Amino acid sequence: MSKLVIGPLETERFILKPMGMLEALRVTNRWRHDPDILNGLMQTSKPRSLGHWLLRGPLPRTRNRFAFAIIPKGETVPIGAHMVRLQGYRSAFGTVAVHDRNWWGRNVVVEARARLMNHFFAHCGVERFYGVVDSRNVASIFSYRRLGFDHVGTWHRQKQNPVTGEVIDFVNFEMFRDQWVKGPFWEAPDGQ
Amino acid sequence: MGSEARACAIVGDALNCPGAIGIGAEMNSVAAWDSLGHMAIVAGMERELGHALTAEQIASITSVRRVAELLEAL
Repeated sequence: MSKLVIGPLETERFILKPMGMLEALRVTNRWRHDPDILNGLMQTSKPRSLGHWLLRGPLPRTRNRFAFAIIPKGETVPIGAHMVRLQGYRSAFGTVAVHDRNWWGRNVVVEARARLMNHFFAHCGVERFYGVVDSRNVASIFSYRRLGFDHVGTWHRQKQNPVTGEVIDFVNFEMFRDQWVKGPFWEAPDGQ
Repeated sequence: MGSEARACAIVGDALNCPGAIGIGAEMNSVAAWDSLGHMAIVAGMERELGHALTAEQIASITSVRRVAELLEAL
């Protein structure tokens, strides 16, 4: 897959600004110590080292992993970030967190993810988006269902939270391109 | 109280609009049904039922009618 160049994307309320590794590290660095975000992303509140974050964190890579800062229009400080990882078999996976609590419950993820899905379906050859979510991460489940993703499976007893000992199930969601373009969030790019 | 009325009450309370939610309401048709509201709906159902919902049950909630079906079945 050749290197994709993606400019800033715009939604009704936000600019989704592409980030390189250093900027993504700067924006997400606080996540390493934020128990709410760590629980959502990694199913544990255990703080993560910088080394772990560099290797396993939601950071961009040159050809197949992209990171976007979510910035309210008229402002300069990101309220969160959304990553998209492209797989070679035309599937894509998203990871998102909103660290600014003032924006929780205001449909940030739905709006940002819809815009990114429109872009990647239209321009990047993606045929399927999928998500794998901790079954108690109800806010994330909401965003997938709100966007019209199908619940296609469940992994029972898939992981254990090392801090609480809780055993965690995961739910799987997916959305195919032909399904997405028939739905309410599709916005055809110019010329299509 | 029947399951449909209980579902309307749970969702209405969770979304801070008691009495304004009908059985035909869906997450895509109610502006107040956001992620925090969705969490409150799941919490309200678990309080009502006295136990936690399964992963499949949580993932299936997209409408008040589905909430009623789950209350009826459980």
